[in-house]
Amino acid sequence: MTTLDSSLVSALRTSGVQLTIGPFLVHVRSSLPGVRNYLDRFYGEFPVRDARDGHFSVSVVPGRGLRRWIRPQAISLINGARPFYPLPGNLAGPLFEWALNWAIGRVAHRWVVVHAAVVERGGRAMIFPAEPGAGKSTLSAALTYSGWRFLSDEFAMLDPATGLVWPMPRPISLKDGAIEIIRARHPDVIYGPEGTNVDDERFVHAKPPVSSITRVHEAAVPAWIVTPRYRAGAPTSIVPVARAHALVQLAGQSFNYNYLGVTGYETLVRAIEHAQCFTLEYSDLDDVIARLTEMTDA
Amino acid sequence: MTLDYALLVRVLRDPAQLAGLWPVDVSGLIDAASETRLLGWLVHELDARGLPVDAPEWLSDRIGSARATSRECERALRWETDRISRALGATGVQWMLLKGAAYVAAGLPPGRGRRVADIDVLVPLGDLPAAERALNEHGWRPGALDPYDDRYYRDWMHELPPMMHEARRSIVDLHHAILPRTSRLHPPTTRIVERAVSVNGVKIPCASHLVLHAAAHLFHDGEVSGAIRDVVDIDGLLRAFGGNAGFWTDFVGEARALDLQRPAYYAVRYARRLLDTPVPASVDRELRAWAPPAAVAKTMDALVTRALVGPTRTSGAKTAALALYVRAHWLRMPTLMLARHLTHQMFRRDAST
Amino acid sequence: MIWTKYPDGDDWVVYNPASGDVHLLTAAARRLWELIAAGASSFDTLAMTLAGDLDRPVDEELTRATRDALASMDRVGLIRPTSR
Repeated sequence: MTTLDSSLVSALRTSGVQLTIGPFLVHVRSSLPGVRNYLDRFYGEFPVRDARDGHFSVSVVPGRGLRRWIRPQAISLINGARPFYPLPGNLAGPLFEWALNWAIGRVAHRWVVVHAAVVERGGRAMIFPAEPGAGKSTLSAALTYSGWRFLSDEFAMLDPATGLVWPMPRPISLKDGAIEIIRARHPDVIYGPEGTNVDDERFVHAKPPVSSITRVHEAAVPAWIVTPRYRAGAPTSIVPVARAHALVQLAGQSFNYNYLGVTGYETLVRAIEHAQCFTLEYSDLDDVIARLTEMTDA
Repeated sequence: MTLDYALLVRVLRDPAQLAGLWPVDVSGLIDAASETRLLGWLVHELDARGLPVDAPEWLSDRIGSARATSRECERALRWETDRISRALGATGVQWMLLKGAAYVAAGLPPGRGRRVADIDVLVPLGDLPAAERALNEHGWRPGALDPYDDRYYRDWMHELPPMMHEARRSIVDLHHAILPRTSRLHPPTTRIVERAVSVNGVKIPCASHLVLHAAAHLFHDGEVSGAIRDVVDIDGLLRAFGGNAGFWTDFVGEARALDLQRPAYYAVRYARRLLDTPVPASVDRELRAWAPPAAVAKTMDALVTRALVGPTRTSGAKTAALALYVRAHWLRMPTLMLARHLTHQMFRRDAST
Repeated sequence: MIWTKYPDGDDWVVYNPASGDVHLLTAAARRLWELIAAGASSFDTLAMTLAGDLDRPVDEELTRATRDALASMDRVGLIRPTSR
């Protein structure tokens, strides 16, 4: 784990620093130690510069007045706006992450953004479009720590010009029971402290393997589009889906394809066209990992 | 990090200054414009001037994203207009669009990349029940206001509470007058309806009434109920109409007919002071007759500077009632995209029975 | 409107740039849309043409299904009634 050198630590607290996170230059500013620790733990391998510009600007600042000290708060500003209510100060680090999610979901229309997890094997990407709560983070974490490359657990970033999906190997967000499941399987992964979010869920961030982080410049071709569903006790079942149906499902998980107009729609059409499309039901992680690995080897 | 409103006001007044900005300043402008709902204005000015030149990739991406957002804002407004037209068209109700949706329908400068919280529709008082019913039938629900707020609207304001569409989450604000009943001014709806013009299949107020409505909205009852964007709207409208023969005469006449002389005076005064709107000297002289006493003018000057040259504030009563909607912007935001299924069992050749 | 069909099935996806929506349609619903886009406006003509395509009689089920499909397409903005 590398840490920010002292000049950058000072800049982080005052005018901010610029992190390169996947395709984005992110200006980050915070005087809160929680943010500095979070960045040290999860973003130590990401390029960082003493600069103030970028695609987004995220500040995490202390609460006002008494709330700076008494039941301290953390407040996020994204590009000067405050879309979130203040949060408890111990969530300052995760607040940076959620603020970044907000920005990518709303002001990144250079990309077609799909709410999905993405992993890769052999240069080919497997995309798991899904509603929040469908278990895609757990599945993508399990695959990642079993040797697949990790691109994202939250956003598939599709390039309209090339159709490729670009990595953003940010911390994986595990919730409730998934925390124990992944921790038991992979105790040596770097985890952040456990917290409770605004939806009253327990959460923990897990660091992707360094190899996933350093291969951030390698885009991948979408080869499989798999809608996952965890169902307790269910045998692993991989069922083909007609592409027309898969397209409509994929569109349903895309925040912004219509912001890019016809180009945005056609990016989705193209992704489906060249991929194999399935629904996946599972309960046993070892089995589903084996089945997916076998499928991608073929 | 504070937003650079001072820079925003400078370029609003003199857009040529956009050419000399560093990338980090253009980026800050995007943020300030976004907060003050002037992103559409900024994108248009940058594009019209071919700016910025040689932008770093991150800035091109930011502007491209802003451009996409602006286009989507207009598309969404046009679509809502289409849907409202479909709902009200069959009823025979005399309906018309006001403000943002009207600007977009007419292709007016304030309509560029227009971001709105809701769509304002004006109908004569007698048509209100039929209009409300038709909108209900087409998916707009009377809104999840608590009984107190709902009664506040209906009984005190004699207004309908805003209606939200069950699927698209767009909000329609149905009015029978352009100012709240509690206002001191009561510009007659009948005159606005009579002089309405048709653009692209919908009715909107005539040129003078568009300006006067914007003025009344901002300056009624001696308060400043709005933000910098409202002044930019007035400036944009006056520049668009000011060269048309007869406009200024009509404007002055209608200000009298609608009893909106004071708001008209303020609108022109502050558009000129803040944004240098060109106004014929003769009109300027005529409007001066509607000026308030000197002490009031001074107070108003201070109010305007404070209220309009800073972060956007939404005004008064509406804020409380819409608090539920404040963070739910209805431009397609995460998780609200629904794919609609158009299949019928009988139409499937592979149906099992 | 942008229409998409893949070789692995008969269903169509349509993207309506005016609404920003995508919709999934059967081949028959797409045919209905095509007929209307080509100018057919009488319900009887539509039903009869569709019946011919599907090799079925113009019975109660077909009529009802056609009406439902037209109503759905109208509701989401894929077609516009010529008179109301």
